[in-house]
Amino acid sequence: MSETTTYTLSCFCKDVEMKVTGEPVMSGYCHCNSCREWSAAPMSTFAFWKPENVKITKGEDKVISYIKSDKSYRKSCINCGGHLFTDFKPAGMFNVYPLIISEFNFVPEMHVHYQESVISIKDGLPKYKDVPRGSGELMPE
Amino acid sequence: MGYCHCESCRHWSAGPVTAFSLWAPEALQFTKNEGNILSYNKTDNSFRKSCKTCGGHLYTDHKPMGLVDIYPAVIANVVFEPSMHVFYEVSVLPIKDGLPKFKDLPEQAGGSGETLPE
Repeated sequence: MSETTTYTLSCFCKDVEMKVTGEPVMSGYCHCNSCREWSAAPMSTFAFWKPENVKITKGEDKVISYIKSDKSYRKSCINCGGHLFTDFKPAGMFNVYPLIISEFNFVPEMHVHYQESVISIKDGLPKYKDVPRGSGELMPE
Repeated sequence: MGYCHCESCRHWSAGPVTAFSLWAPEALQFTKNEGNILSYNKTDNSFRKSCKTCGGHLYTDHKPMGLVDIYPAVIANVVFEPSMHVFYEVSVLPIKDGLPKFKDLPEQAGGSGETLPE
């Protein structure tokens, strides 16, 4: 692992391919309602990369973008519906979903929006009520 | 109802685990914009349905099983009562909740029925 390490990922059908370079700024699990409703899963994951370290290498025209709020531009593939990444424009970060990145060692550091959690995870990691730069408040597991 | 840890569910949703609730197909009715549903099937087992506008995931039609998995995470008022974990063999997120952890699927669903430790 180094600043120049490059990882690749694709959507579920492989029509869209991407690469990310370096290591994420922050990683963890997200329990917010929006992530859960969009993915239809009980929780989600995040790994934040700087936008300049993220590139779509194939099928850019197949990426759809959906914005419910100005904070999150959610990107998926129009062929398979597979989820790829979310552009958090105001934060200046891309969340490239770490578990679809090939050969990437996901090292979660925290849980965010745990006050909205529908599943309790007893892994000893800090559980933020919202986000570290929000209230910063922690919750029990 | 339960949790699924299979590689396909995880890749499609980009999440660490998904949740399922299996229904008879006739229990599901479309009340708006059925034409806006995208369907993708990597295998004949699972036709994965999402919204063409937002990319949000809705349900998966498991045709050979004759059941539809309507994701409990998007049902407004269902009480999610998970009874098992399936495909725990490939899990990337251990969940210590005391529920049975099937290596693949229960026997009645065509699996080995073997269970794994949490």
